[in-house]
Amino acid sequence: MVLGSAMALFGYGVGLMKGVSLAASFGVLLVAYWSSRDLYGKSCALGTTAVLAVFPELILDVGRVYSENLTMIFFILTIWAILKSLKDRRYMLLGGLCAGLVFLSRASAGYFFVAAGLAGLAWRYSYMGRAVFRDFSYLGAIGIFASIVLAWSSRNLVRFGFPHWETDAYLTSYTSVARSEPLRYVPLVLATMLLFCIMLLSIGIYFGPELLDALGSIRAEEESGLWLAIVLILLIAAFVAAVFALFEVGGQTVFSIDRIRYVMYAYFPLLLIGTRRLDLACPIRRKPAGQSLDLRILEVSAFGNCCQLRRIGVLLRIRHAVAGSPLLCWASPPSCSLASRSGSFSCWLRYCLCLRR
Amino acid sequence: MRLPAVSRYLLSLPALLHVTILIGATLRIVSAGLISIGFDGGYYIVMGASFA
Repeated sequence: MVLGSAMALFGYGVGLMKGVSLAASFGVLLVAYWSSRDLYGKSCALGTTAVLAVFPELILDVGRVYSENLTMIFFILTIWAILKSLKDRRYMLLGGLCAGLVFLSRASAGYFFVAAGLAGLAWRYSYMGRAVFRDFSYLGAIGIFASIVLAWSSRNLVRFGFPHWETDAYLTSYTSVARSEPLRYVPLVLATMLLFCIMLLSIGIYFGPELLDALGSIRAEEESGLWLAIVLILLIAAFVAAVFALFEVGGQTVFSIDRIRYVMYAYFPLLLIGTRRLDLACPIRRKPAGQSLDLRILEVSAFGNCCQLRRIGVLLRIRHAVAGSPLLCWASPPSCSLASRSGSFSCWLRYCLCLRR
Repeated sequence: MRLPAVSRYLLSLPALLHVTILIGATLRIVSAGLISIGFDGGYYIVMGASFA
């Protein structure tokens, strides 16, 4: 719809599509800065935005004109609205709208987002009980999200006829096959979850103390909300990515660094947890010994993404070692293997700009 | 000895983070400028045209 609107206004052209993609990628930086500043202050905003600014997949997808940057914008706004709604419930209306826009912008996840919406509702129910169904803001948010899903499904039915109500018929057809073959599907879901856990830990490892503290107070609404966002993204991404790995024509590689684009949305809540205690106004030399969050922020933004490629590269080498296994026998795309063999800056740069060969 | 304000800023962590964001923004522009590799233009032209 975004590309269609731009084309309707300015005509067709590769340059226009690239321009829209570039605008969306700048939008990610602006929205990430603004929302994290509103939630946790300027220092957190600067640290979060710096890490996302040099995140390789977000840069790569500008050139590929993939929808990840657009989805990231709406996902960040959804997290922001949900966290704000803990103090003022009216923000849930915005949360419902943004969640609906995430649904529209991520065709390959489609109705998996409805399951995520239900999980979010269960989360609120666990704190508010039946009051959640009497609150105008929550009912409104459910209504807005459901209206967007229903409107889009109806549009598909009118345009393409029954039974094409789904966002992405391509994925739905493979999902049906996956459901009918659980013995082949479930092991790949588990393998994909393992890969995504390693991908999240590749950045999360820099914020070990902060993550452990947040886990320690998981019963607090804010903490559980942030962790729920991380876990839900990981689960949805694993179910979707495993479908593509197993049943898509030609198949996608299971342990491929390119698959980080399915789970990278979880980095935003992860970075919020990691950077919210950052205080850039206070010089490092005046801080107590052992309080090294400033340096870790710098490390993760400057070197973390390179090291992330290297850590995931170890996985890829394991995959190459077991290439004869029927579970992992798909060919590795050239786009994914070369860039992750070392953790150097040039390697990271080649990955960001598709200069891998 | 007290350094000038500009020097103090350039040596500070916020300055390094600002530079990191600037590098990221520059790479996005370069990435958008690269047309050849990894761009599935045909798919997006058809999809965009159908919506337009």
